[in-house]
Amino acid sequence: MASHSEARRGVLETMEDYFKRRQSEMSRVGEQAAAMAREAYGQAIRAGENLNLTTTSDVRKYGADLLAGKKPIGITTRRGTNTGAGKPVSTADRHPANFSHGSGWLDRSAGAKFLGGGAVRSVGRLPGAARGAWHTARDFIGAADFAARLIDPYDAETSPQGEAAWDKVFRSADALLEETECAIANPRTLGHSVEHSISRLNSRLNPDATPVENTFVGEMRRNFNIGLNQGEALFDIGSTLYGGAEAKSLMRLRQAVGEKGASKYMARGVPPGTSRYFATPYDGRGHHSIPVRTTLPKWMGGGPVPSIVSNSPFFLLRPPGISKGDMFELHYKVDPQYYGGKISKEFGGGPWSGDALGWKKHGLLARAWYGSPAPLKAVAGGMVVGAGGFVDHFDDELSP
Amino acid sequence: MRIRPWATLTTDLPDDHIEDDHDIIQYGGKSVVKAIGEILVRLGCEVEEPVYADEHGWEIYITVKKRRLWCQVTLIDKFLILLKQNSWVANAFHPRHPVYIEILSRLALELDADPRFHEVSWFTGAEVDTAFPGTEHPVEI
Repeated sequence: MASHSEARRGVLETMEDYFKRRQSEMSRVGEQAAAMAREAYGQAIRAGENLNLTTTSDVRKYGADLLAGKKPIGITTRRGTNTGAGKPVSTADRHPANFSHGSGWLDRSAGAKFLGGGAVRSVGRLPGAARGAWHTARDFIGAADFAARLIDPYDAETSPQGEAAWDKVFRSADALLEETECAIANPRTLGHSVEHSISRLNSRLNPDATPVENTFVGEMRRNFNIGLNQGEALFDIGSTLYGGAEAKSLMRLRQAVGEKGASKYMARGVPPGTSRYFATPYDGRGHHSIPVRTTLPKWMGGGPVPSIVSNSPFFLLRPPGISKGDMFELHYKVDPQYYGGKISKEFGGGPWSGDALGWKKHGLLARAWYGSPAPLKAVAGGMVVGAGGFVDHFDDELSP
Repeated sequence: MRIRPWATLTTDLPDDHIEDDHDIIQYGGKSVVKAIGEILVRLGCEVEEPVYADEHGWEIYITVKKRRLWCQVTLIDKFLILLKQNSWVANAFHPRHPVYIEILSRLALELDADPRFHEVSWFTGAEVDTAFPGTEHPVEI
């Protein structure tokens, strides 16, 4: 030990003197490093950057690197962008070395954040899907109904010629083309809009599109939000297949379907008076997936099913804006206890019956599908379609 | 045993179909469902007040010997009647329950004997609203 000290200083010094000298040197360097770090901090603030040095040792290390002429390691992101919906960041910003500098080892561990973030993102997808279901049920009942027709393999067969949902889609292509022509005439608007939409979608759904949070908790929160967005997006994609709709424009298409009036019934051979009656708006109570006569079992309190349930959009089939004819036909096909009715005297009076009009009752599965409101199909994804109506359908399939 | 829970009939009871200048206000069938309810009471059933069911017409809920039944009356060209058990469990596991069979059979006899009703014919679900003319009795052994 003595020879080591001799070689460094040229004179002998005791161990005690050596430790005092090193302590003094370290203290001086530490003060200089802290001063250097504070100066860098000030510069970062003036430049609008976040320099995240949360502990004394972080500050000293940062300053020491500056003193030694090394490129210091620290988080230097733009303020206000470190969220699930922020601006995209470069690959350099995502370097593992830039992940650390929280207060705990979890905050500093890129691996923990990566693994935890992935897990939390997965967890967030389920409530995200539920959020999507709620939005669909609340906002897009009409559009969902139309979307259900788009995927209905029998729609073309059961609709009058030219009145199938896809016919309307193709017809509406003219309108879409007009809009596209406008966009082509003003490409800057279109380009900006598309670019903005893609960028926004990317930042909402892609965890790599926004910077990693400094802390473990913040990173978990960011990933959970992205998981929610992903879940909702997944629901929207899936529910479009089952009758829900992300596409609000479907609402417009659906309205177009109902505009044909009496002529569409006359084209199917329905007498003129009946056709005109069928073309008037439907204002009845609709078809209940849970029959009104259903009573709750005693262990659930007995009595009828509460109206708030049976008349909810999930169990009441009454598409908004539907005509009498469309609703009667739908009702006839899905309800085993409904066969026809009367026509108002203003339209000639007399009876109508589904059989006389050539309508056919659906089978068990088709009844479950068509007899369930679109929001229920959207939420259930087709698997528990007609959950409430199951009782009725099962009942009628087995009874004489 | 084949059961035909559907019936069609005509009646001399007053027409209670109501409409204004533009549309139907209330579908007919109330007088018929009330008359059927009165018959069922005579047969020992407890019958609730008729319930309006919009385009389905009118309904009554019946209890007899702890079994729940349900009757629907819809006016089309004739009156279309349905009498069935109001429980999917009963329909699934006891579709030919003796109490139900007895009430259905006795109702058919009463309707036949009642001078207010005419042209009573009975159908299965598959036969109703088809060219099938129906049968005189709802229960075929």
